[in-house]
Amino acid sequence: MPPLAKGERALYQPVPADNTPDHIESDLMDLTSVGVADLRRLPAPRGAARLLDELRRARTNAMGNGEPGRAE
Amino acid sequence: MDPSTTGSDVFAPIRMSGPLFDEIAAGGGSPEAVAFLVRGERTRRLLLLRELFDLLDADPGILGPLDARTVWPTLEAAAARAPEPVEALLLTPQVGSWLAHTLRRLHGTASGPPLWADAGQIAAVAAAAAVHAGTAAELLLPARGGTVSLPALGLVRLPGQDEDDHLPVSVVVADGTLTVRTGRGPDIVVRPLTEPESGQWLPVHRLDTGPGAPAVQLDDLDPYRDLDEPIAPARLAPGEVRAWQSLFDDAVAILRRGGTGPGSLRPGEISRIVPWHARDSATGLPVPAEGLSASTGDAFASMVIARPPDGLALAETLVHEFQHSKLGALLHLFPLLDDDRSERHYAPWRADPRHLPGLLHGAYAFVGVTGFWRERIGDTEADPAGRAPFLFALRRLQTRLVLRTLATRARLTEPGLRLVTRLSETVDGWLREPLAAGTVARARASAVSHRVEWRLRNLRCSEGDKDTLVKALRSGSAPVPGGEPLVAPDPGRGHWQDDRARLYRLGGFESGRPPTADELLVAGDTEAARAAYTAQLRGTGARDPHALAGWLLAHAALYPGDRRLLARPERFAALLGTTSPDRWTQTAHWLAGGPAALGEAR
Repeated sequence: MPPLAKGERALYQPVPADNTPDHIESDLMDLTSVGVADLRRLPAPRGAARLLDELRRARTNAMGNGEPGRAE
Repeated sequence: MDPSTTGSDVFAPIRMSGPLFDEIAAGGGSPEAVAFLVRGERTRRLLLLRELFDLLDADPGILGPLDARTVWPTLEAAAARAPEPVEALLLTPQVGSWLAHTLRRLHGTASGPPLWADAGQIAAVAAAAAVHAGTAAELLLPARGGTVSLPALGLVRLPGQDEDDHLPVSVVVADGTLTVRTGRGPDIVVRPLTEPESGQWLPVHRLDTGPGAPAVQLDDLDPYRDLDEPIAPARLAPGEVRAWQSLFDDAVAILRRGGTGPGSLRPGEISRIVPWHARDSATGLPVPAEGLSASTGDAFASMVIARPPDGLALAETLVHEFQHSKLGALLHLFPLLDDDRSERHYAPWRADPRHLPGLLHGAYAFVGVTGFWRERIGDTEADPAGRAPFLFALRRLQTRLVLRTLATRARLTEPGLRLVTRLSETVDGWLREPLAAGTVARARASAVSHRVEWRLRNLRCSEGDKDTLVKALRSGSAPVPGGEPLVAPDPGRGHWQDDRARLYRLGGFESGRPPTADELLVAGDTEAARAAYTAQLRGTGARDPHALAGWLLAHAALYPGDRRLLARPERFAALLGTTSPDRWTQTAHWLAGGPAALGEAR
């Protein structure tokens, strides 16, 4: 294993033990039960603002000039 | 559903179990873990589609000559009758890319054809849904350049339209049949789910992935198949399609021989390949077309790929780009780091500086690539040239370096820290795996070579640091440490390829002609290499970063005590304007060792 850099020790914090509830919660609502046909009856969705902020950032095409393959 | 309630009242947040998260975070992911990400993508698509309909409600004029009132009832009726195929349609890359592009158009951060034609593709989505569901509909669809595109189905060709035309066309759907009323001749009638290719209908190509696995789209038609703005269809010649299928067969066979850890890929999880082609000509490209690939988080499991030379290269690219898809989906669920867009960080697989989110994407992709080459070690059928050990050794080093940058420089969220931790554990485990000492040494040298040249091409000392260094050199005092270098890619040089990397991988060179400086360096003849680089630098000027990097690498090999020069080669570059070539060795000793070294050299 390579030597740790300054500040890198924080990486090796323990994760929850097996018998503790361990999940990561999103700011998005779980819409598994919502069908496409119900979409317009959906209450004000939570988490959409963050998604929209990310989505609205300008992108560039791959099939033109400029270096391709930039993951945004 | 009570419209007075809010989403928070009705729905629980998405919760990803820790073990499932860790599978993705370690760089791999079981079918269950990937399915969880797809579930998140479904939620995102629903939210975005809802946003678009809200915007169209607020301003129906966005759709221009199209009939906004018919779109939602068509989609709703299809989804009510056949929810599964309509869900599948919503999740296609075509719908994902179009939806995101249109929302950017409406926000003012993308451009394209007349807005009504971009936004009006919603009517084509509704028509495609009706085709899948077998429901009836009458709609106006946007035609562009004499074609009407049905997402993930194909393209109707209309007679008599100019390439630049954007026109509304009347369409009737019933029992899976689509009738286009052209107004300039007889109606065009197609059955998009089953119709073979003809003069009026081009179906999306599908690549066979083998028994029981879903086919993968080879999409040369959809206007939204690039990363953002719409492009024209570019139908592949039949021979080109056969070449793709052959390459894909080889890639699938290679991937199926692999394991299940990071770097593996289940081919059926790929949704679409978009053949890359130059829009105008390939002459303006900064890098050779071979090896190009790209993807966007808007289109999960889709990838733009230039046709590679063999199945092995395609398999590596599929792994690489699917990693981007997985991380993109994870980012949609959880913010992983503060989104600092400052482009200043070193990515060993790129010519230019990257921002931290880009670095995270690269690290995640290259954990996959590293694992891919690890799986190929000993697979002489897939890798007859035996490149895998070197590429595994190189990529594990480079990926670990980037993970360290993320750990020390990025402001990671809790899930982000967990992701970087799991990725680091994966790579640290790989770094403990034994390889031939010569392979490890060549990989290490190649990694250092790229980093030194990247710094010389992209970083420079501030004027203040440069002046202080020059004064210290002239006075014979100790070199001052200096501050952070400036990020200043030389705009005149454009992009570059690491020519030494191929030599380090091969470990030798052709005989029968005088060796180049790079070949001498890689072969270990460092004295001759340094002389050759000096000659180049005298000829081209001391600013040639490739030759200067080579000179420094040769010098550090001759004087291992001076290796610290390689950490910040831009400091040496700052002194060259005031130092003649015959004193570069002394200057290098001084910069690496201080005034005592300068004294010795004198």
